[in-house]
Amino acid sequence: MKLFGRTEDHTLQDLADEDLIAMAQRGDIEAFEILYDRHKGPAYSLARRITGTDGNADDVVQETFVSLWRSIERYDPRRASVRTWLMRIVHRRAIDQLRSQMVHAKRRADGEGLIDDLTAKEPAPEALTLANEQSVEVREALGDLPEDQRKVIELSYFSGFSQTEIAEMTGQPLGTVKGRMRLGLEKMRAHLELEEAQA
Amino acid sequence: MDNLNDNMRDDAAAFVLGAMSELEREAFRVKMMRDCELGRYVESLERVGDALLTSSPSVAVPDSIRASILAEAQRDLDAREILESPRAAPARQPSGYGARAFRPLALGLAIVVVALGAFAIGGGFESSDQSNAPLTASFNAPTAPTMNGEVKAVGDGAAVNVSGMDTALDGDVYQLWVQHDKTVYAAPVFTVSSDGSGHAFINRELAPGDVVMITREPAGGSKEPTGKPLAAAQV
Repeated sequence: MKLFGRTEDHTLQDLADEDLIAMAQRGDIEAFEILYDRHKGPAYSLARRITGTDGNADDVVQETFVSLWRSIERYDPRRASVRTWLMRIVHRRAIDQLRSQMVHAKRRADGEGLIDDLTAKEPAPEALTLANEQSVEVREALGDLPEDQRKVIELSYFSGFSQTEIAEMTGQPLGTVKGRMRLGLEKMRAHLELEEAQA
Repeated sequence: MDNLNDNMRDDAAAFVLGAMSELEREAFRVKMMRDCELGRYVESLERVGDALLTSSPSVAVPDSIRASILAEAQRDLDAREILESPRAAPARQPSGYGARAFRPLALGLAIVVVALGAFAIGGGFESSDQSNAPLTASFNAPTAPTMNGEVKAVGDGAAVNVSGMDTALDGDVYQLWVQHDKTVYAAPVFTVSSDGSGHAFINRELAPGDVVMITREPAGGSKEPTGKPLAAAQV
């Protein structure tokens, strides 16, 4: 069996992300294709959630993967997994796009509605994979937070609002907003650590 | 993490969630570099942030995105291949002198160039005006060995002159493309005369590192390249 051969289709599919990245760094487009297929779902879902439209999500995902291909040599496995690296890029690009568009202003006007996005959508069939089971756990951890803590996390992380903007929008003192962010993240951390210990 | 007060923890949470202004972020980064405990606390919250990134409910991904991304990646590969490939047939070589005969001369020239480069980097050329030199580049076309061409920056654009091009276009045209940073821009189409020569002007200022490519496209040109680049030049 050839290690990187094309004679057996499963060979490339079985490789870890880091191995595929190393191949893509040498210009192997098939390795890059598999990376895309492996991560497109979470990447698109995150882009769609942040930008709010299919068209904007398309742009963000395309830009992300093309830029990843063009700067793939910058990947450093010591800093983050491939999935985390990729998702951070999607997040940054989606937030940048959101901030640069009027959509942001509109969402500010009906900020309450977007908080419910989290539970409003029906998961697609692919939600049954292990990765999605993990994402369900994270959603549960977020859903278990008191509403005021969940709201500030949502508004900052998925809607791109600054702490000052959130304070203005919610009519709460800045210190209260910051405290809620911290308490929410700490509770989620404890929840996820507990899940990890039980797994 | 006992030495961290609530204010520092609050700032850490805002930092992780991207809720700080640029100025606040920079100030916080400085604090974090000075305080290992704060850095570890931020790392622990970043794990939550990373988990949140994968928490979105799944939505179906349009198939068109895949094709578009892979076409772009393939174009990059094609252009890279063209730029890195040696020319199939050198344009002209003095008869009686093979490449081997030029090796000592080439080595000598290389040493001189390196020495001059080091001299220049060390500030040896006080009045060097290299930055004012016009950007030029020659096309590489491994699949079209008779083709020669050059792109030369002129004012706010660039002039392209080619020769030895295939004249049997069957109604198609040649089109120029400029890859700048991470984006490919469509540039003018052109045809060639019966001797295979052609000229075009790119209404776009070129920057060092830009790649100018030529593809064959249907009459009128295309919004995106539809085929492999025939030639490429990196300025």
